[in-house]
Amino acid sequence: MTDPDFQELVALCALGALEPAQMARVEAHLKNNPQAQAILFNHLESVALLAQAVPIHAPPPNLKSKLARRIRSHQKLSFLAPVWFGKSFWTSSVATVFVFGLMLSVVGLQHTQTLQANRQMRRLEALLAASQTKVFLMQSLSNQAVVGRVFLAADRQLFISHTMGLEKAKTWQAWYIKKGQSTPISLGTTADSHLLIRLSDDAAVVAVSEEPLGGSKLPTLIRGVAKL
Amino acid sequence: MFCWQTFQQRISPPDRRFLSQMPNASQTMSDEQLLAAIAGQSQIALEMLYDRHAGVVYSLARKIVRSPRDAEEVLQDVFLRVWTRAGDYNALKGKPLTWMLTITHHLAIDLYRRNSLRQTELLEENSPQISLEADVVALERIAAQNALQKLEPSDRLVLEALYFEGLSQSQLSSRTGIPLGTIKSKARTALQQLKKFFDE
Repeated sequence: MTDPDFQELVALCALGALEPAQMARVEAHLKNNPQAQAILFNHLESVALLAQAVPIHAPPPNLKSKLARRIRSHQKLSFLAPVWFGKSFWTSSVATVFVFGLMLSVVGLQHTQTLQANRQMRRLEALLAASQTKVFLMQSLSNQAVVGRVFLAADRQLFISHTMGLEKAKTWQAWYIKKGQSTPISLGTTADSHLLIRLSDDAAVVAVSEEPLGGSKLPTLIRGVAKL
Repeated sequence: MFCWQTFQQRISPPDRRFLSQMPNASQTMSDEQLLAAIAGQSQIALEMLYDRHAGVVYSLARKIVRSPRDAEEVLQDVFLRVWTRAGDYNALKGKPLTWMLTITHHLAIDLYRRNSLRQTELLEENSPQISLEADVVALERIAAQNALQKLEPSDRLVLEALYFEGLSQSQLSSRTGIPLGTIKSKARTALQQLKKFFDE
């Protein structure tokens, strides 16, 4: 295929309107031909405008959770595939029954915890997906290094995520300071590096400190601060 | 009292990495950054991309397959493909949305052709049209609609028949009587015009 032939067909290729034989010729021409590829990508950008001009319809709200389920099952299958590939049918069947039995018993035990965690995940997903959610950097007081992020939704749901390490027999404690005041108010303790909680309307600063187990009335060692 | 330990276990390591890379309040994550996080298996990044573009993907699929139910299937397949192949995305080949819409078009046309002999559920003419997107995406959509309206009606017809109806050039030629050579040249010039009008 010559360049003029390609120029003639590239728009139709971008529109998906070539006959299979023509498509094969165009694909052969595109192979190892960055210039031709650039021309095609340029046309694809124009074609995308056609798609963007379509009147918008909202997808059904439950579709997102269906997609999440498909992705989770896809992940499980990808995880199992290399393990069972090449095993005999009976070996893999017995092993699968055993694994599912084990999973069922674990699932039963963790059911309550999972429900609670699911609720937290839904809250977190809603917070992160909301367009009004703001992200603030959490910085170390000592060297200004970024040690985490604070996500604040319009409804004052607050998510703190940091990457700092914690010494043994210590716990994290989160704090906030009201506008115009200097006394920190505790938001609770956690051993985890993530915290999801509702924040008061008048909070101006959020901080994370390292504390003895059980927490403290006032911060002992402030490790990260975010100005809201 | 929250169950923090279980909650912590539910945030996967890729999501933790993604969250730790979020920019500050004055910035938003670009589609490219979201795709990079999705390639690292961050489901939160995928959800953010879904919230941003599910509307346009679903609407394109619906326009082509002409059935809300089939459009839902296409939408899920597109994002499943984004999930499994985000690592294949190459910024040199265009914007992420262009890449996603190309996938959408291929999947929708395939489904439409498979279903073409079957009776498909008719689109309800009065189904709700809702603006879902952030301001920038909405502005781009309005600009694209304006650019499309500026095209010559015959050029617009050629583009729409080829793209939304999945017709090949020869099928369009036999349906409309327009010579093949004219279809080729109309398609090329109309696409160039569309981009020009959009950029104006």
